[in-house]
Amino acid sequence: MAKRCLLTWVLVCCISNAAALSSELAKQQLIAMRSAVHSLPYSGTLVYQRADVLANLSFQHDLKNGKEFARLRRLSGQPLERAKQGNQLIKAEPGPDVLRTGYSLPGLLSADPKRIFDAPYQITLGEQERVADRTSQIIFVEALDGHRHNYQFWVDVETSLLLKAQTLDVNLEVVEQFEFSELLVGPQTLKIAADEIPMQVNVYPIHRPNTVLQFSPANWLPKGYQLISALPSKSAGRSIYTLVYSDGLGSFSIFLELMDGVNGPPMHAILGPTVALGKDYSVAKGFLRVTLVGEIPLKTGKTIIDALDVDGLKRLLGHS
Amino acid sequence: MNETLRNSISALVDQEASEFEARKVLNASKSRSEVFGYWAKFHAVGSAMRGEQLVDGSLLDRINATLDGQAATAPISDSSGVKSGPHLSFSSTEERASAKSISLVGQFGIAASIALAVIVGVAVVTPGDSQPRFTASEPVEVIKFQLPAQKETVAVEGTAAVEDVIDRQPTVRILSERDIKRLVGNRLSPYLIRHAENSAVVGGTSLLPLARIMGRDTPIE
Repeated sequence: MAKRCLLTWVLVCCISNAAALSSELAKQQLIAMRSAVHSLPYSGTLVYQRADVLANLSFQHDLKNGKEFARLRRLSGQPLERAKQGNQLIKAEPGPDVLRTGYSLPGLLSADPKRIFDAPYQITLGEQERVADRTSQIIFVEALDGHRHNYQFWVDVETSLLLKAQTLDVNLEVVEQFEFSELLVGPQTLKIAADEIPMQVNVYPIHRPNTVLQFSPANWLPKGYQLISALPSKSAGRSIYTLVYSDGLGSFSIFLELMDGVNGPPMHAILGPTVALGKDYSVAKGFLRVTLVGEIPLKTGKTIIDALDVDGLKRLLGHS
Repeated sequence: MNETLRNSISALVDQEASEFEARKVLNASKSRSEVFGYWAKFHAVGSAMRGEQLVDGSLLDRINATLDGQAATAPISDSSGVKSGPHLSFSSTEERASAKSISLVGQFGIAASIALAVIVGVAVVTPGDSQPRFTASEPVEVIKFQLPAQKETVAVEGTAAVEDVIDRQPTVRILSERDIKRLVGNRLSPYLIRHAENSAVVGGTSLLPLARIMGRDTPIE
C-alpha cells in the first residue's frame, strides 16, 4: 500500500512541478492568445465535435487595411460559409444569388482580458503537447463555482494562436472540442469557396455601442458575468431586446420580446455546452417572451430566468 | 468538499484521473486540508478491498520506509514483543486452487496488456519493416483522446415523450420525441443561431463559436 501511495503521490508531485510555473504565466499566455487570434493572419482546417455533431471546417483570418477579416466554411454536406468583415457578419448559404440584410448584432465595447481574471476561474499552465504538427502549451481554466464551464486550451508556442480547445462541464466531462488539423501562419491565398454553387448572402451589421447601460434584468446573476452589450433591434418585424453577458470566456444572451397571441409552455434544450431556455409571461395584451441561450450549466440558466424582474422588463420594452 | 472533487480524488487514487482532474485536486489541496484526509481514506479503502495490510504511521514515515527499502526487506514481527515462532497456516485445496486461478488470471491480464501495448505501440510507431525497431527503453507517446459526452436533450414543461408515458400524470400532454424536438427546435433554434453570432462578435476566439451551429443545417434536429 505504501508503495502504491508513494507512486500516486509522486504522480501528484510531478503534476505539481508543472503547475509550479506560475498562474501569472498562464494568464500572460491567455492574453497573448486573445491578441494573436485577432492580430495574426492565419488559416487552416479544423474539426469541431459535440455529442453526435462532427463538423469539418476551413478557417481563414486576415487583416486588410487594418480591418479584421475572418471566414469559416463547412467542408462536408451543404456548403455553408460565415465571415466577419470589419463591422459586418456575413452568412452565405446555397440559394438564389442575392444579397439580403439581416438583423443587427450587438458589438463588443472593449475586449478586455481582465474580465477573465475577475471571474472565478483558476488559470494554470499544463504540459506541452503536439497539435496540428506544432508544439502547444496547455492552459487549464478551472471554474471555481458551479455557474460556468471549465476550459482547456492548447496554445501554439510559436505564435500564441489557439490550436485546440475543450469545454468541460461541472462534472469535468468534455462536452465539446475543436482542434486544428492544419495551421498555416501568414497571409494565404487560400481559395475557400472552391465551388460555383450560387450562394444567398445575408449581411448582419455589428452595432458597436459607445456605452453600455449597466442594469440588471434579474434579481440574481452569477458572479463574474458582466453586461457587455444591450441592443434593441428588430427581427421579422418584431422588436427584440438583446442583452449579452460574458465572463471573458463563457457568455449568455437574453432575448426579450413583447408578442401577440397565446404564450407557449416553458422549454429547454441542451446542446453540449450550450443551453437554451424559453419562457413566456402573460401581459395585458399578449405575452413577454424570454429566451436565454448560453454556455452555462442548465441549473444556472434556470435560476437566472426565475430571478428575472418581469415587471421591470415589461416597462423597459414598453418604452423601447 | 463537493461531490465532483471527491470523485476526482477517487479517480486520482485509482490512477484514472485526467490531467484536469489531477490539477483540480492539487489546487484544492492547497486551500483545503480535508483533501489529504480523503486522500488517505480512499487509499485505506482501496488497500482493504485488495486485502493489503494497513500500515500504521504517518505518510512521511511510510514514504521514508519505502525509500529505505525497509518495507520490502524488514521481517514481519509482532509489535507486542512476543517472540514469533514458525508460522503455519492451512487452507483448503479449493481455496488454494481459487487463489491460484485468480493469480493466474491477474498475471495473464498483465501479460496480455503488455503484449497489446507492445503490438499497438509497434503498429503505430513502425508501420513498415524498413523502420528502425522499437526498443523497450524508448518512451511511447500515448495519444489521449476524449470523446465529448452525449449531452443533447430537449424538454417541454407539461409534456412527456410517448416512451415515458407510463409514470406520467393523466393531465400531461403526450407527444412523440420527434414532436417535442420539432416544438423546441421551432421555438429555440433562431435564438441559438443569434447567440452563436453574438459570441463570435464579442468573444475572444474570433468566429469559432459559430462552429457550434455549422455542424448541422439547423441547431436542433
